[in-house]
Amino acid sequence: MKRNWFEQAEEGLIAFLLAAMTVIVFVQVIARYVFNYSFVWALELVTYMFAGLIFLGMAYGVRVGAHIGIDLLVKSLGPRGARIVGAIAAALCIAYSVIVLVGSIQYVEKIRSIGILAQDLPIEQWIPRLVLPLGYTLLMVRFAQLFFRIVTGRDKGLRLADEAADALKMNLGGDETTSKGDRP
Amino acid sequence: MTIAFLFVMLFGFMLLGMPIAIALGLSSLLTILFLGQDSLASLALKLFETAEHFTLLAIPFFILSGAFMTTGGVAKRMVAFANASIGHLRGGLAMASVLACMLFAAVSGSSPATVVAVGSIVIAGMVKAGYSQNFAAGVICNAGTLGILIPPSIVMVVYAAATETSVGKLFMAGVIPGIVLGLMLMVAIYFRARYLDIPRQPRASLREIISAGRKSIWGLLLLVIILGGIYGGVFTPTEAAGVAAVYAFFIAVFIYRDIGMKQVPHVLVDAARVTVMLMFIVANALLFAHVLTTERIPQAITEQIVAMGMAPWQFLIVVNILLLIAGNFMEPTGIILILAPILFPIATQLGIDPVHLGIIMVVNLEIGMVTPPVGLNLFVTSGITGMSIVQVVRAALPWLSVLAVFLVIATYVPWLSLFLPNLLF
Repeated sequence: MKRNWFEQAEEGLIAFLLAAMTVIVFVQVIARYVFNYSFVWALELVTYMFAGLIFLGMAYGVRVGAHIGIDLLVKSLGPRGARIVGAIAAALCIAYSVIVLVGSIQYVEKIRSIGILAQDLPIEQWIPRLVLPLGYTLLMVRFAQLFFRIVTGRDKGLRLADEAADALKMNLGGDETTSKGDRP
Repeated sequence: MTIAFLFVMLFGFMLLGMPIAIALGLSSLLTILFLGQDSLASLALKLFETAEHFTLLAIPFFILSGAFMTTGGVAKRMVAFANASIGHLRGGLAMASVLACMLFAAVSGSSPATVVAVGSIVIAGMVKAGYSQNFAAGVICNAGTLGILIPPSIVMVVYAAATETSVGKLFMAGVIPGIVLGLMLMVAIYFRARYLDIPRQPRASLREIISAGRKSIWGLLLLVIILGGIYGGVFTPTEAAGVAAVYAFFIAVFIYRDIGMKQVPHVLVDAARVTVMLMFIVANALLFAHVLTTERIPQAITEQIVAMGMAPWQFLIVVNILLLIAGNFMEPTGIILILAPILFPIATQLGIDPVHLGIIMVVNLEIGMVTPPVGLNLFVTSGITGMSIVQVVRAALPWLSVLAVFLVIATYVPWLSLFLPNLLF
């Protein structure tokens, strides 16, 4: 399946956030011991990146089917029943996204009206919190897409992760690369 | 009334096949909207606070370091070392795979990852050496659960965050129980192998053992860095996790050269995906726990239990049964975040050490991973062996009894968990 630019950017962003968080924490430890210097802003920046990773990543998780759930009942139903249950579940997921979206807009609005600055970074606190409404908008859109795909019969149900398959895939990927690495 | 509303919705949503995270989140949101006083904005605040939780920040880093360690041939080197050291004993190959699981658990915080990493190498080898596939798969499926008991452990980080217990103490507390469980599995293997008369392997020379040990030392140093760094006060557990991730990257790419720089983005995406999945559950489970506390549910239960005059040992039986049931239906992180706020205050009232309670919870969740219907290790073992789930369940059952005996020991011998943390901290 060919992915469009948005999907690639989404994947690139969460990988970048994770890498950047790791590097910042590492550099901070090194700086403290080797150069006797601490970045006061490091922790806050990492925290905001973590928020970005979680809340911008949720929708990505829906698209790639990373979220886990229990599909025992759904599997025991016929294809028609599974589709109906899948549509209900997708509708409830949309409801969840909308409720939190409304709450997060109110929350960001409130923080903005108070107008406090972040502790160590030179930005106002509401700015990093924008990942909440943004992330939940994306989540809502993804579930809406999924809902229509289920209703129109293009998808069988919510795509849940097969955690076992994932763990296997991760390792098999490793085996391939190992053999490649051994050759030269 | 509220609690019934909350839990009925949670189970209903989960049965519909909704992602666990959203089932947790939606049931909490609806409970608060209909029965509580919190504003929607304050719930959004609660969700955002997940990212501001310094302890939880360790999770993405441990996942990343585990991902680097899993993609590389770290497990292969550990298996080689384990085989060289104890492979010549009766049932040695199976014992060595338990040892390899213990070693790998020390670089990975996840049980299914341990089963896959070690199992995909050793099961075929054991079958070739004359073990039945059932024997091999059953041993690995159970020994893999050591992944969450031997530090680093993601489940322990979550427990620490939920109960404000020290991550360092919990990690230390997992060491002795992890070794004891490993030894118990090995003893069981010895007797089983003697009964089945499984042939021995030739003894490796001391030089071979040292050479194999040298090759796997880079991986094992990871645990030394984490535990030593936390214990020595060099860094916080979260920083230790970050350093571990960079170290694991360095080892995989430059020392072992199992992966090239080209594969690094892949590993990052994989780790980020797992992080997102897990943290989305954590964020919503924290919301769920928030509803429990604002409705004063833990307090109500504590009062009732204390009023009933329940002795600590009776309470621990209840804890074990509750966790064993929950472990069959839910994923460990969610269970910890829902049940820890309920069990923790009761345990404190009864004088049970929070660190000990943490270990009890972890051991219960280990058992949950090898029991159907949501036993992740079963699915993973079935994936790497091609056996059906039913076959794997049957293969794992005899060894599960070892875990059950160990659960009783871990529950009623607090010394096992508390000796090391009390000695060191």
